[in-house]
Amino acid sequence: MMQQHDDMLELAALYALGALPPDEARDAAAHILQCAQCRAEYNNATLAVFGLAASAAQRPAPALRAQILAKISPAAGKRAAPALPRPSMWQSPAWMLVAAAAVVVVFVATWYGQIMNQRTQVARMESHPSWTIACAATPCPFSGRVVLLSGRLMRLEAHGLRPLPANKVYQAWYIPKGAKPFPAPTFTATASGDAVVAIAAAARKGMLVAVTIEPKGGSKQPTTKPFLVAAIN
Amino acid sequence: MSDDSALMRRVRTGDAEAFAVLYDRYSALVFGVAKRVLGNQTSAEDVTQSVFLSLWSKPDAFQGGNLGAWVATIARNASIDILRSAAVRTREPELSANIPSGDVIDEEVFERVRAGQVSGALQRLPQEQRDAIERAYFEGLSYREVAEQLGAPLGTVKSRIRAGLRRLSETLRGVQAS
Repeated sequence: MMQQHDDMLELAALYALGALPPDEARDAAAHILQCAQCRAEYNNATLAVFGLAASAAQRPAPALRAQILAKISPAAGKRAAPALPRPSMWQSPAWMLVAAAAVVVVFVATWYGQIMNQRTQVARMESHPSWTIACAATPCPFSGRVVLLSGRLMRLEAHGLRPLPANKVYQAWYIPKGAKPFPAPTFTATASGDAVVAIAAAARKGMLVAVTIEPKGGSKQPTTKPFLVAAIN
Repeated sequence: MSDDSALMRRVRTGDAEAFAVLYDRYSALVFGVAKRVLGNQTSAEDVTQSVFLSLWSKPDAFQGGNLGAWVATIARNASIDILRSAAVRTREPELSANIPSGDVIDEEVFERVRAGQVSGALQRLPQEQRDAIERAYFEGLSYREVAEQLGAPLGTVKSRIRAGLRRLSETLRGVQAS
């Protein structure tokens, strides 16, 4: 029994980190709501996760502030009227707990449903323009494609990638015709050799999307030869 | 009642000045998380904008707890969504529910963390704990996927993550971790 509860404490921490698969997340959320010890574990983990997030903090460009504030100005259109205050019964702890439980279950189901529903989303993407990945080796041990998602966003999908040592990462690049490579995100592959990475760049005819192996943390310019390339045409 | 709660009450009445104060307080957190996940400034700005516009248009979605932790989670989830999905980029981010608790962590602790006063805390974690935690959070992996990537047993990865989070939490609170 004790071991079982230790497991639940572990799940409470993993839940706060967002590291549980959907079925386990649902169980964990339901248990946390009922168990004071697990809620304490969850709260502690929430502080740690906030510290993790804060470690990445970086001030955005000042122009973004102006852009966002302009969008909420009265001239940009009035937002929907604020919700009316709820009757006090709904603010009682018991009702809040019940309501929160319902919201958590719906949220967990929705959020993980989206993440785990990639196959459906990929099927929906079939209508998006895409370009097949090629490689120097014959036969090519890799497969994949670059999919155009929107005016300035592409998605690189690669399969057959091998695991890398801890000090190495894969890095994507986009190379406009006649220009030097621009760095895109670094990434790792799953145990089955799959990887998906978003590349925020407008697709232009003659552009190349490439992948190299770089030191952990990525590089500003490629330090190895690309082993995967997709030509945007 | 915390300063953030008071500001959120003003945002609910359509107070743009209160919204601007919250933006100044949390934009670095939201943008930083998105940039770390997506690795790209433009996409991170898109996420930042959608998170704050959602906060403005649906302030009632915040049901209490720590606002900073809440917006960081929304930014992280929205960024992972973009990373993994094609269809969601133009959609509003999910405004997640947080689990209420009587054991409220001192807001001052969160404020010290937000202000960067404990920025070295993460670096003080053992490498294997930090690695597992960062992969799960910034790459959107489940602990099972982290275990696969590291080639480590599931139980080991779960323990590393929990131990790392506990240690980090203790450090952030200013308590000497064992």
